[in-house]
Amino acid sequence: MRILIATVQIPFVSGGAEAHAEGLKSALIAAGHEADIVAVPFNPAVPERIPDQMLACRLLDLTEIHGARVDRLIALKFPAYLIPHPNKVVWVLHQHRAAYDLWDYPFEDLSASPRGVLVREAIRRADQQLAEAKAVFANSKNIANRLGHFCGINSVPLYHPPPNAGNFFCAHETGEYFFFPSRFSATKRQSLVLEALALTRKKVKVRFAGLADSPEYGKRLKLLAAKLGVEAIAVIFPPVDEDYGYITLEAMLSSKAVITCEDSGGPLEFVSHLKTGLVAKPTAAALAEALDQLWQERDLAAKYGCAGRARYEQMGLSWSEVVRQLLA
Amino acid sequence: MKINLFSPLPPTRSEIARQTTNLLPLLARKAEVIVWSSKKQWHPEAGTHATVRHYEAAHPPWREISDADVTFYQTGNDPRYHHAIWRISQQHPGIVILHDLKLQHFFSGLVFHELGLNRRQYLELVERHHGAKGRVLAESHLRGLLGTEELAEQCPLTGGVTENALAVVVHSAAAYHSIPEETPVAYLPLGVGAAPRTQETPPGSSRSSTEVYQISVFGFLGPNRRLPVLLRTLSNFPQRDRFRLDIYGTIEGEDKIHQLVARLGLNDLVTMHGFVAEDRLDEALRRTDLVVNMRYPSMGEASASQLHLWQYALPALVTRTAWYETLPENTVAFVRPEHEAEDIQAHLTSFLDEPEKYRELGRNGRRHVSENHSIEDYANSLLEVAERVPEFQTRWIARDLARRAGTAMNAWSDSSTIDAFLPRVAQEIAMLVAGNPSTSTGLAKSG
Repeated sequence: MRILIATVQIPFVSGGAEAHAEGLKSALIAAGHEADIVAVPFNPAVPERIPDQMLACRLLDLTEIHGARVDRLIALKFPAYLIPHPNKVVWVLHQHRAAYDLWDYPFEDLSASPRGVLVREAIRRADQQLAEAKAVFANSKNIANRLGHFCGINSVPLYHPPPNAGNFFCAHETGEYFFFPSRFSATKRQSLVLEALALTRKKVKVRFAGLADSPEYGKRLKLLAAKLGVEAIAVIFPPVDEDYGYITLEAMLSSKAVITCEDSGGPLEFVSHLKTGLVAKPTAAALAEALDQLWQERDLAAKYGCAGRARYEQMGLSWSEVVRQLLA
Repeated sequence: MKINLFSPLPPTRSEIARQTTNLLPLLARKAEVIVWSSKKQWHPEAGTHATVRHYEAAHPPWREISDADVTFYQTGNDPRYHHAIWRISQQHPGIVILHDLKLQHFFSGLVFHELGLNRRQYLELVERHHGAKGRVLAESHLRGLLGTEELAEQCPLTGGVTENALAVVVHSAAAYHSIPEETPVAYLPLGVGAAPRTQETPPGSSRSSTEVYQISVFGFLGPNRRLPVLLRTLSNFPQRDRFRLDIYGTIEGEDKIHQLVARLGLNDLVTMHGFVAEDRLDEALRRTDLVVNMRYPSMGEASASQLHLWQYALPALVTRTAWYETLPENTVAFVRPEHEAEDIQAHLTSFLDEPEKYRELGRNGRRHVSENHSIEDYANSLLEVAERVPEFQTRWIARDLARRAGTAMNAWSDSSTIDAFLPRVAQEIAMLVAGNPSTSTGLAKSG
């Protein structure tokens, strides 16, 4: 089949979504299909212009390229999933969350915009067009639940392996730190981990890895770290209602326990409390307690890590299964 | 339902402020109401039924404003009371309640009082709504060569407050038909608060033999309230000593009116009280036999003060124009705009001959208000309009997208390509805003 993957590209931002599209493209090619990615530029910085970008997507015609039919369009993200196609399958990575669950979230711009309500309503109405797709999949149960809750759209959760899944392993030696690899963003809540570190009884170390969404947020974290006297930048994965979260799966592949929070969304679909990690209340104090516990009980952490790896294997995540379902 | 209501509040000297105060307890029965005030102080009564919040027009708290399901804007012609409301309404589309159709007083007032609209912006606004000819007239107005009323007749500039609205609420059939087709509009008869306690017959009936009758004029008294013609007519009226004229309210050009009263030798008959508090006005209306409530030209909407005076069962002389023209013949005494002096004289003569006939007009008027202008019905209708916000939003979003797409396509400067592409653009806009893929977007004016 000739397949196009439709997604969006926010200039200068690269993360899980881009890896996701590339992973899908590789899997489709590996399965013998001709596949390519169409990334529509998307700039959410000026909320009033978001409907223009939705309309631009609706006006794209990808049914045929150079005289050859496009057999299937697999659309991943808002507003690219609005591109019409007679054989469209949508695999929703996430909707424009500022119009839904993050409407009241203090770091989101939409509700602070004078026309935010109208833009929100435009997005919500347009998202109803998801129903025109031949099938709607969601990146996780969490996203499927949101689609059902906010839009009344039924979708099937479809998990996939993280990028480079085969490269993860558990080193023989355990380092003296927790690891928190993620984009630096308010929704990933590095700040909560920093506040928790200030409350730990043990001399817990966390290594953070990632790029900041905005230089301001990066600066804020550094200032906060300096203020709290944290010696190293560090670990774990306690985001706000994450869509999916490769980090959880990567930790499981690496046989590492995961510390997450009760409101972290996607990670909760994979982390079992007291089995493959710890699920804490989303407060600095509760998080500090979890950090202290695993810092002190290394064997328990290792046990959770092994159990996480076993759970990953049991889930049978594979790109071939993803391809089978998307092309069914 | 959570409602934002941007409105002047007492002690602001405005009928709209009074109407808002009367509305609040009724709206609050069925909705959570936040009243937004650009003034830092307001009469405590306003806060009895609603949360009252102050806002700075330059830095509005958008997150809080966006938290409501619907936003109403009370708009009127006084730039002092409505400039901040207009500014917010231009940024955050909501439901505009129109209390005047001809809004030149408001817009040129923004320029003259330096309330956030400069001359260039004003002229651009006039040109957008009334073309190059309108701009020329507006330039004449700014130079002092053309009066506001005359300009308003040709360039009412209603679109300046309605162009960005989700929907418009009007209070007269004429206003309803004057709103452009693309804007949803609801016609609700203006509601007034509880009627004052009045005697079954007005005070004058018991003292008709005292030979002297009380005429009152009240409200904001601009040139269209016809004070000079009234004064001249009274001065020329042979039995003028049978009347006393009391004028309540702020008079535009007060000095000239004072001079005219003196020149006409009416000092013994005419008293100008200026703005008076509500209780004093109430007392004055109870002592009144006849009200002169003329407006020419009319600013085009239903008159809250007419409804107010009817509540006292008072007869009134009104100009046969605009909303007044639609009033039942048995509720008011009409004055033809082109025969003002003649008609006023005729009415004064007739009043002296048959005062009871005029009292009957007042009683009919009071009945008309109670049957057609209940504030309870008005509040309920506003809530029904609020329920329709999703429909209005759909229409607004579609219109806005069409406008933006049109602007983008204009740059192509190839009409045949644009014409070929337009149906597709229209279809996709319809798809986007439809919500449910199977629903259509057809919307019409509603009564």
